[in-house]
Amino acid sequence: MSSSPEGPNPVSRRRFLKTTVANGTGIAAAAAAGLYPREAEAAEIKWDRTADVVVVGAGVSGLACACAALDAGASVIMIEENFDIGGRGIMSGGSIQLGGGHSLQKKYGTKDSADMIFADWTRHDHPASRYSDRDIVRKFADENAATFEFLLAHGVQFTGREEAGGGASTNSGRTYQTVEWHVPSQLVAPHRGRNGSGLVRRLEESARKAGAQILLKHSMTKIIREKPLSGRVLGVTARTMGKEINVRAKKGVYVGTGGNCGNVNFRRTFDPRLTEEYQQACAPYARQSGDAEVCAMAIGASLWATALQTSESGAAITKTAHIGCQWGYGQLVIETDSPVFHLARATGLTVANWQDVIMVNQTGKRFWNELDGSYNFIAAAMAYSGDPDKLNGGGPIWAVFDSDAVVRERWNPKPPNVDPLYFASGATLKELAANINNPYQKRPMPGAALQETVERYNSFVTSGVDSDFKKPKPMYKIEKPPFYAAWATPILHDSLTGLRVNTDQQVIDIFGKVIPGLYTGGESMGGLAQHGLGRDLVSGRLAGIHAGKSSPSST
Amino acid sequence: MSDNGERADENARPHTTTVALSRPLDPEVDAGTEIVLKVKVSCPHGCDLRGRAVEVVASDGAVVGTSRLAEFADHDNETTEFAFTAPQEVGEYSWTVVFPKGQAEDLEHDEGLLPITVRTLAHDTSLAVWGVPSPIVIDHPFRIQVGATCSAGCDLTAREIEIVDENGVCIAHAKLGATPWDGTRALYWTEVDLVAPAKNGPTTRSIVFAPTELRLPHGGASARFGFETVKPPQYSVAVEVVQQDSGTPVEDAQVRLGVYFAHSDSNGVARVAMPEGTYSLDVLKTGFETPSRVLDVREDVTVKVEVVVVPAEHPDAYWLFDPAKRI
Repeated sequence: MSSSPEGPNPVSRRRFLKTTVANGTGIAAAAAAGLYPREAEAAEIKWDRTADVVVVGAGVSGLACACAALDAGASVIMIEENFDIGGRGIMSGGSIQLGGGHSLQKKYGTKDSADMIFADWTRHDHPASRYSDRDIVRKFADENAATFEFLLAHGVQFTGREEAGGGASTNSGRTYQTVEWHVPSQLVAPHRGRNGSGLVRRLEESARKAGAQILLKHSMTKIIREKPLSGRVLGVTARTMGKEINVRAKKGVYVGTGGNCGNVNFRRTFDPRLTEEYQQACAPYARQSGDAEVCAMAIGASLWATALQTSESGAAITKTAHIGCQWGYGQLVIETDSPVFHLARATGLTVANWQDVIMVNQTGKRFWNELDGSYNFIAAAMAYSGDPDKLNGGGPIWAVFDSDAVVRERWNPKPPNVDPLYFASGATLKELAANINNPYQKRPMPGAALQETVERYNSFVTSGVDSDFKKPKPMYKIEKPPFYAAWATPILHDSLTGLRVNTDQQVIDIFGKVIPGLYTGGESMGGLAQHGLGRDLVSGRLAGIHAGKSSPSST
Repeated sequence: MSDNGERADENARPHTTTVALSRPLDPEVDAGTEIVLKVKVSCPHGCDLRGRAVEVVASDGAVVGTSRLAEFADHDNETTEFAFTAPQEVGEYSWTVVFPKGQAEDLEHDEGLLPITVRTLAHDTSLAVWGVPSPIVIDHPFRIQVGATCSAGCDLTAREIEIVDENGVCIAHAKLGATPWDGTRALYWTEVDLVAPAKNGPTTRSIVFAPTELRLPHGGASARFGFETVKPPQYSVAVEVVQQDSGTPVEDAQVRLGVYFAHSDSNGVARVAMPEGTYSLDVLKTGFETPSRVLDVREDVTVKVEVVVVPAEHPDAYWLFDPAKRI
């Protein structure tokens, strides 16, 4: 049983110290009370709430951390900027990559072990594993099976189906899917099999039952450390309803804010091409704000294994699957009854056959074979497009098609399927170009250039040979009005690396030293580029165990 | 000086006024179309001027547009959007937005002025051409559809378009019809009958639109289209498309034999008439795949092509790690 977190404290630490000093006990009394001298220096802070462990971000890794800390007997306060929990996990398909010989694998007779996981994620012949921090991978591998059992113990249900994939060797039988949450009103992406909702809701349920307080609509603005670049982390500052509160963490602060893809300034640390036009998966529900990385680095934390972010493997940057909407990532579709549809504004047009469109950049020119979705395609989409005022980033990418394509794809190119800001139509190609009115299209698309592009492409369809980009057998001319342009700019997803941690998920500073009292995991951590839920769960759980069991002053 | 004295002094002097646009004016508009404005008037004393008129005055003193201040917030008075018509000739024109001097609640407000300038442009026109068949047998007639539209949506009924060859020689012309193409605001279109050239190979034609006799000035437009011209057919090729394991016919697959196209029917059969030769045979359909092959046509021939179903992508393919896919 965990102890209870404390609400707004009737006696502030400052008042406590004043009293003890007045009584002649001073620092000795503070030390007796569990306060070290440097902590006393920070005692000017007014703490509004206190718990043993403060978890920032109620996504997958944060919830795992909270549950593990509660299991260890700690009290927990969670801070979540959104109006509900779940982060990107609630939008996830719920495919969890965990193995190592856990009970479900045994049930299926699947051969797996921690050593096999380690081998998969330290392969030298694959860019996703080549740059791994092998200490991190070793601990991750060793804790896979235990983390799966931890999920079962916290009520997470699995479909029982074993899916392919899960390791850098594409070994089978290390991916298991959770059961979708059963309350439709508590889903963010209804009707789309977002089974990750079952994972986060079960963990939330378990955490709340064990006494966790979850402060929604609270955004972390600062991690409070005794001194700017030294001493223990004491808590965090969070903004809510226009005011800031300070939340004290007696044992540790866990920051797991879901990666940094949504933070334009930060993500460009890894790749300067990633300018503002690139949107990110799971927006507009989850921001991928980089808050954990930014706030931790502000008190001295270090990034780690940065090569993982730009190794051009995994789903760091992807081709859109749905066009004509701002966020068209993969299997994610925000339907009209989603609680965030008013933010998403359109469901998008799902592309069944990329032969039905050509893709052009902001200057109306094709740049690559539209059937490709590899990083070569991404690189071409992000190439310099000729705008002297925008040297980085490739600008918007538009899928251009005609009314015949609409029939073939069975699209209905009208709201709510398309967003007028991310979609245009025209009676001619010139009119189409003139009608593009998008915040990221900084210069009008030259109509003559678009017309020239399409005329040339149509000649490729006639001859059967794409002599520009070798699109295999271009099938359909773009000729029958009206014409359409739908947003198809590459979309970002995974943060494949982040803050440096040790094997207990403690954050390491720029001098290679542990920052006492600060933990991270999930997509805020560096060292292992595995996609999604497995990494989140193992790292969050490990942090919760260590923080929950630590003494208030231990590092 | 007492408060009353200040108030009396304030009442004695007219308040100055400032006129501004609520949002920037588009510096270029199509001649003869509407110029839309929203005007803001403010007085340093924060007076509520709702109900007072704002006028747009041309250089000859004519009032070309007027509106009334309808909103008052943060010491600013605003009109709703209102419009006046730009001149029909191409050129640069200036007007003055005037808040006339006048009385409101016993307070006199001075006149406020804001000069504005707009360039009027000839209407831009553009073209679309569709329904172009390919390939076409040499010297054979064929028909295309051509449409023209104006950036301001002008009626282009009966305006003439021309088709010209590679040398710029007019080979056909037609007048645009009276009903815009379905799904467009103002794409006026027509059908044009043409004849393929006597020489086989790729052919390019251009459409030229030089609108005349319209009330407002219009720019011209041109567009190109192409097709393959081929020799007369000698043989019939039937391509039967079936699924590899089941033998089930595959309908609506695109069958390509070089520059020849056909689509499979409900029996999975596509028929192409073509001259003797060696052709690359490709069968294309979403969800299926088959390798390209070479087909010699020396007689009437029937060929069966087995296509393989491409397994549906795992719904979370991107979410699972698959080096083969991403690298």
